[in-house]
Amino acid sequence: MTHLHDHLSFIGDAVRALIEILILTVGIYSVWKLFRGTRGARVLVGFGFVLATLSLLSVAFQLKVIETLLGSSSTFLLVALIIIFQPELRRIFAEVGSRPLLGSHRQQTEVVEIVISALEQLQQDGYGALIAFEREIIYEPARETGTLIDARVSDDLLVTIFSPKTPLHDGGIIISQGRLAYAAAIFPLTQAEGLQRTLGLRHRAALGLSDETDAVVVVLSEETGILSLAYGGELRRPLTTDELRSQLIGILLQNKDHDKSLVAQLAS
Amino acid sequence: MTNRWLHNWQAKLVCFLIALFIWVYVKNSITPGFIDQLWTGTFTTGR
Repeated sequence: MTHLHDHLSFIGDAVRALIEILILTVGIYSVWKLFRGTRGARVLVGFGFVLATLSLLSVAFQLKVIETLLGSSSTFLLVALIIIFQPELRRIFAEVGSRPLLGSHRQQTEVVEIVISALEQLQQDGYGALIAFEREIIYEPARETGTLIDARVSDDLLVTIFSPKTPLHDGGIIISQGRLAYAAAIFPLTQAEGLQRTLGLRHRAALGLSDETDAVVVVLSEETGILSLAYGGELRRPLTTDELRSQLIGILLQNKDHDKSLVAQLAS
Repeated sequence: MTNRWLHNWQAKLVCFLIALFIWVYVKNSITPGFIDQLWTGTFTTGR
């Protein structure tokens, strides 16, 4: 009887350990997915590597001083990590709590169609464009540098704004709550390394804004006419207008990532 | 469905190994001698 009880207790502990390890695995994988592609990812990997090596050495060789130091500095390390990854954390928390865009779905679909139509025209004319769809997080410096427009989005207006030799063609436009809010706004440049050399300032600005906020940013390259979409610090390119339309609608309206269950997100 | 779970399997495997490492390390802090028990095969629950 005692033997059986020991067996059951052992199985219970093993299952508990497995659950704990699986929870940790899910947590680490989620953090990796959120940080992947951001400027903080490399720092995080390096930091983790140093920490893991020190911990391993201290346990293996019973380096009590190092072990105590690691233990006592854990709070400091946590604060340091929060400061280092402040932009990424802001975006992550905003994503977790974000909802589909304000404004009706129909209105947003119309805006996406108008933007696509304007982009097709700009593509034909050989002009570039930088268009940000603002969502939950407002990046105030971009608004401050831009010119307030507050107009209904129309393809003629967009084409006019991005036509060279007009005062507002430099910088990007911000579409907020279905309206063209600002033009000639200056977006923050991304600090990400390893970007293609062919990517110019427009792409860096698009990535920068998507690093800092949950905005979706569309770029039309003036040189190549290639369409790109920056979202969550990732650049998706090259895209056809159909792909761009479906991705924009997917992110802005259906908010697919957030609607997916946790299990489905982890499976991907 | 199987493909979805296998997608990015290298990253998932690395995450699992890291989790395993962290778990053993923390467990060893809570239950001193846990790693020695694993080594010698005299695994007990430590409770």
